[in-house]
Amino acid sequence: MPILRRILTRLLVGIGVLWGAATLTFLAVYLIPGDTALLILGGPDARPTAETLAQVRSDYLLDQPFIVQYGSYLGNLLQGDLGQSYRLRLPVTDAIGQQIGATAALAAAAVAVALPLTLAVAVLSAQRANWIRSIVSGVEVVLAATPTFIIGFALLIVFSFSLRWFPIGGNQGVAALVLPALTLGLAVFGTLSQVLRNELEDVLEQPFILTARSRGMRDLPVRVRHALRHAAIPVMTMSGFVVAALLGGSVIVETLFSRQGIGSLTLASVYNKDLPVIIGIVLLSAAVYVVVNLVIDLLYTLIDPKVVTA
Amino acid sequence: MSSTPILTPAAAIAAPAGAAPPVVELDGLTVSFGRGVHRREVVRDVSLAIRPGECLALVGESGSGKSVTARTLVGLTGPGAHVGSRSLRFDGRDASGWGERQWSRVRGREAGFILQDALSSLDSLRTVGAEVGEVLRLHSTLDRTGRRQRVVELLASVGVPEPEVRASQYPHQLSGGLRQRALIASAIAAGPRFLIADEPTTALDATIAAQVLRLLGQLKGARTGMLVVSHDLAVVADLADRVAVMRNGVIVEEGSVQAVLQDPRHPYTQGLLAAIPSRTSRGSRLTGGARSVPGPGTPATTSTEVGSRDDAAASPPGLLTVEGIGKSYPGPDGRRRTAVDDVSFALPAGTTLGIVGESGSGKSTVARIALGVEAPDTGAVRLHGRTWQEHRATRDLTARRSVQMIYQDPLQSFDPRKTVRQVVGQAAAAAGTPRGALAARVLELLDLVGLSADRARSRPLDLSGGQRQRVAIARALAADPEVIICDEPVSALDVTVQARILDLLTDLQDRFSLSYLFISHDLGVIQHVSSEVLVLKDGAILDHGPVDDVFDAPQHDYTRQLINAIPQLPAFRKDQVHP
Repeated sequence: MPILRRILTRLLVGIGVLWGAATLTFLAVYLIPGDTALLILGGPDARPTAETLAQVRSDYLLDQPFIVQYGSYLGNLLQGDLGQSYRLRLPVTDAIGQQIGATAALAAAAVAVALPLTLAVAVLSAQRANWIRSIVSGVEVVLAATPTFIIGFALLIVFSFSLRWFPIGGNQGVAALVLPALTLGLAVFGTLSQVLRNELEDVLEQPFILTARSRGMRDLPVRVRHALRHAAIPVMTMSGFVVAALLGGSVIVETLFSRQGIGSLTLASVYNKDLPVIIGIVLLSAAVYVVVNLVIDLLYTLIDPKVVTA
Repeated sequence: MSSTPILTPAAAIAAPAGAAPPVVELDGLTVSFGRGVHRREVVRDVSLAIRPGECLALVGESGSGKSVTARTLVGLTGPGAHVGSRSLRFDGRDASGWGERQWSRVRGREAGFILQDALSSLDSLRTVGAEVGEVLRLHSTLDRTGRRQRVVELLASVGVPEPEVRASQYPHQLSGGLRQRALIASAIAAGPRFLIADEPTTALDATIAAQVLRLLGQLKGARTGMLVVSHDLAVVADLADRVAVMRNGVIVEEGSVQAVLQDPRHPYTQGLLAAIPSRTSRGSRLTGGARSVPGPGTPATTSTEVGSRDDAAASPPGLLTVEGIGKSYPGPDGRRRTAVDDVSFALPAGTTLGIVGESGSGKSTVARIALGVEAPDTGAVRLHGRTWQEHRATRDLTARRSVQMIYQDPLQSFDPRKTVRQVVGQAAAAAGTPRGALAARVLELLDLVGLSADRARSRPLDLSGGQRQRVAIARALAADPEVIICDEPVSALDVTVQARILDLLTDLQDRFSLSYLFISHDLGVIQHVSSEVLVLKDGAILDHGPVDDVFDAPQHDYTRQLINAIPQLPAFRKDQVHP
C-alpha cells in the first residue's frame, strides 16, 4: 500500500515536470525573436508572398493571443501531436521515431560498457594499496575530464585508422556500434567509478563489514554481498547524471561517427531552427528523466528496507 | 610503570580449568600500525591463554590496545597492521603464519565474534535471518529450508521472542536488546569453541545489558572459551573467571577476578576500580588526589566574579520547578505518542537531581522542556518562580543564560572549524563579557575545567572525548549559570575519564553552588552524583525521592529491576584502594 501510494505520488510529480518542460519550451519558442511563419515557409530565402505568410499565420494560430496559442499547443500535446517538422515535412513524432532506435542502441551499449566496468574496477580497487588506487583513480580522472570527442578521436585513430578493427562510422551492424559505445561508456565510467569507490571505502569501514569477515566470509564476497549494496544507494542517485551524459554525449558521438540518431537529429534541427522537432526532443529528454528517476525511486525501496514512507 | 606483564600466562593459568589445553594461546604479541617514523606500537608483548569453559576479561581504556588484541586472535587486525608474536596457537594449531584463507575457515566456525552496538554491526539492508543464516551458508551443509529452520532455533535459543517473525525483520525494526541477541545468535550459529565479545553491552540500557551478560554467561559452556573486552570492570566481573588489565598496549595486571578485584596490585588497576561510581563513592572523589577546582575560599582570578550566588542560595526550595508537564508528538501513523506525562519536580540550588530511565523514557524531552527550548503541552516550568514565557515576555536574558546544557557528544554541538578559544569565547561574549576581558575570561574558564591554556588553539576534532566534554562544561560555565542540565554527559566516556569528569562536575558544584539536572541511564553514576532521584518510564515518574530512599525501598517493580541490573563488584571494598 505505501509503495503504491509512493508510485502514484511520483507519477503525479513526473507529470508536473513534463508539463513544466512543455511550458518552458513553449515560452522559449514564443519569446525567440524572428518570424515563425517565415521559418515554416523555409526562411527569408523562400521569399513568400504576404498572402501565404498570412495564410500560415492563421493556420498555425500565430495571429491569436498567447493564451490561445498555449492552449492549443497543450491540447495537441495531450493528443500526442507534436506538430510538423518545418524541415522534414513530416510529423515530429515520426521524425523522432525513425531515429530513436539507433540512439537507444547506442545508449544501451554505452551502459553495457560503463556499468560492468564501474562495478568491477570500483569493487576491486577500493581500500587497496595506495599505488593501485592512484593509478586507477588517475585513469578515471583522465576519462572523466577529457572531452568526449577527444576520446572518440583517440579510439578512431587507434582502432579504425591504424588497426582497422572497426569501421570509421555509420550505422551498419554491431561492429559500427563498438567505438561509439566505448566513447560514451568510458566517459560515464570515469565519474561513476570514482564515486562508487569512495562510497565503498566508507562502507568497508563500517562495523557490519567486520562482523561479516568475522563469520569467515572472504574478502571479495564481503565486498559484493555486503558493501556493494550499501554503496550502490548513493550512486544510484547519480542516474540523472548518467542520462544527461548519454543524451548530451550522443549529439557529439553521433556527429563524430556520422551515425543516425536523436543526437544528429537534434543538431540538424538546431541548425535549421526546426522548432517543433527541438521541442519534441526536449520533451522526450524530460520524459526519459522522469521515467528513469521513477524507476530508481522504486529500486530504492527494493534495496533499502528503511525507505518505505514519504 | 613496568612494561612487562606482572604475571606470565603460565603462572596465571595455574588456576581452574585444569587439564584441557587452551583454545587460544598467545605469547608475546606485538602489533604496530603505520611505517617509518609514523610507526606506532599499539600492543606490546601481550601473552594470554583461554581454556575451554573459561572466560577472560580484557579490561582497559579506549586506546589501550584491548580491541586490537582481540581482533588479532581471529586474524582481523586490519589493513596496515604489523603483527608479530612468539607464538599464536588456535586450538592447538600454530596460527602465526595463517593467511586470509586459513583464517576464513576458522572464523565463524571455530571462533565467533560479537561486536558492540548491534545496529551498526548487523547489515542494515539484510534481514536478521539472512545475517544469522550467512554463517550457516558459509560453514554448514544445510540447504535453504534447513538453514531457515536453524536460524529460528538459534534466535529462540538466545531468547528472541517470536523468532519466525524476527528473522524476517531488519535490524532497525528490532530493539537494542533483541539486536544484540541476534548478533550473538549469528556469532554462535556454527557452534564455535571460542567467542570474542568486544564491549557487548556498552550501547545497551542497564536492564538489557544485564540480560545480555546473563546470556553470555550461559554460552560459556564447558567446551567454549570466551574473551570479553570492556572498559568497565564492573560489567565483566560477574561473567569473567580471570581479568587482564591493559594499559598503553601492555597487560599490567592479570589474575582471577577475585584476586584482581579484592587485591589489585597495580596502581592503574586500583585507580580503575576506584573510578567506578556507585552509592558508596558519593561525596568522595573518584580519581583520588586534590580537588581540581579551587574551593570557594580562593580569590577569583579576574574581575568577573563567578561565585556570588547569595541571592540564589537564599531563594526558596526549587530554583527550577517543573509542574505537571506533559508533551506528545505525532507518530509516523498519525496518532499522537505521549513522550512526557505529568512530570513534576523541584531542583533546589546547589543540589543534583538525577533522572534515570532507559532510552525512550522521555528523559531528553524533559531536559529540553526544562531548558525552555521546547514548550510543554500542559504544565509549566518555572525558574525563580516565573515561567519561561514570562521570562521571554520581559526579555530577561539573565534567566535564559542561567540554565545551560551539556550533552553526551559535545562534538556535535561544536562548530568543527572553530578553535576552543572561539567556542568558549563566543559563549562568554554572548554572556556579556566585554571584548577586552574576553581572552582572560576564556583562560579562566579553561583553567576551571582543568584544560591548559595551550589547548585554546585546538579544534574539537583534535581533542579526546574527555577534553571535549571539558570544553562543553567551560562553555556552559561561560554564561555564569545557576542550573546545568547534563544529558548523559559521561555515557560515551571510559570509566577513568568518566571519573575525572564526574569529579570536575562535583568540584564545580561545590565552588559555584550549581544545580544539576543529571540525566543518565547508568545507575552507578546517578547514585554517585545525585541527592534526589527520579525514575522515568514511558514518560511518567515511577519513583521520586532522596536517592537512598529510592534505591533502598523502591516503590515500583520497574525500579527494582533497574536496581537489580546494576553490575556488582563481588566483595570489593573501596576503602582498600584509597587508604
